Amino acid sequence: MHLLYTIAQWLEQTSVGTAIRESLWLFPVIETVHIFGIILLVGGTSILDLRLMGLTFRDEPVSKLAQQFLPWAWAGFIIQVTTGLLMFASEATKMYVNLAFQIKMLMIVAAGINAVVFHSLAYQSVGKWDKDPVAPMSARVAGLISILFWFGIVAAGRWIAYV
Amino acid sequence: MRDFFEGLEHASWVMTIAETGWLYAAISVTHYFTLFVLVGTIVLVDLRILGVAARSQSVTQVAETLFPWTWTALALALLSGFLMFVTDGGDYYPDRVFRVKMTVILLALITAIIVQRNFRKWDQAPAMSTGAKLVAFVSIVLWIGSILAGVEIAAISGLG
Repeated sequence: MHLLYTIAQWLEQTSVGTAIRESLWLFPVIETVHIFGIILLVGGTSILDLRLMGLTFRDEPVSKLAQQFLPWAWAGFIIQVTTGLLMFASEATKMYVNLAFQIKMLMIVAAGINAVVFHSLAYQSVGKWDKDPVAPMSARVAGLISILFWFGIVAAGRWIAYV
Repeated sequence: MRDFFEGLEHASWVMTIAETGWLYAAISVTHYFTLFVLVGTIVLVDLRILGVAARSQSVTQVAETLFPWTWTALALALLSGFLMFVTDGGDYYPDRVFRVKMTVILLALITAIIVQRNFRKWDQAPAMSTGAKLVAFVSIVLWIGSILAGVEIAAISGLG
């Protein structure tokens, strides 16, 4: 963990980190882009999650929704990593000890693991249940875990300001 | 007016919100979630009017699906926003950045109402009129501005 702290200290002293921290406009503009990125990322994943849970779009094939919305989610994810890194660089050592930030990062890793497990197991057999209004139990659980983690990640992100 | 909001800060239910850390944070998180639904649904309808997104569905289909969510989210955003405002109303009320945010939101809501009242009529034309596209474009710009202004309240004025 000491290495991570050293990296955080270095990031904060880079010209990028310093410029963002000292400007009245850079951080808010980046944060605004980050907020619109959430709409793309969590909006996209949530539509698929709700379909997996059998709550919405039950007459649409799962694979069709995945093809339609996952590209938007990935675009959102790239925006989030970029803008998130820039904001992190401006206050890295503060974030390093911020409990809400730590929980947020852990939940992002967990959401990623959940997505990888879903795609390499349950989604492999999607051909068999693509058009079923209610997906098999393993896919329903993956959808529930995903939506809970992503909403938790957004909430933890806002909570960073209050710890 | 400022005196009124200053006094409201001392009402017991307002002080409960202000002094209970997790409660204030939970209201802020609620405000955060409602703004995603509010702005997300409005911008999606705007992008459909501009012909950028969801082209496989008509403007009427997209708007009729999303607008009930928009107005529900607006009600919750106003309520959660008001609850945060009253905890520090004496400082928010005269604040320049806060006033910019309120003005931008008012203008954005006017464009949203214009879209809400006209989308069926616009949809009957063979193509979206320039006027409709202009309203949609202005709406997107205003909603981006409202979020930026909201974030700037903390950055410039140090409130919230």
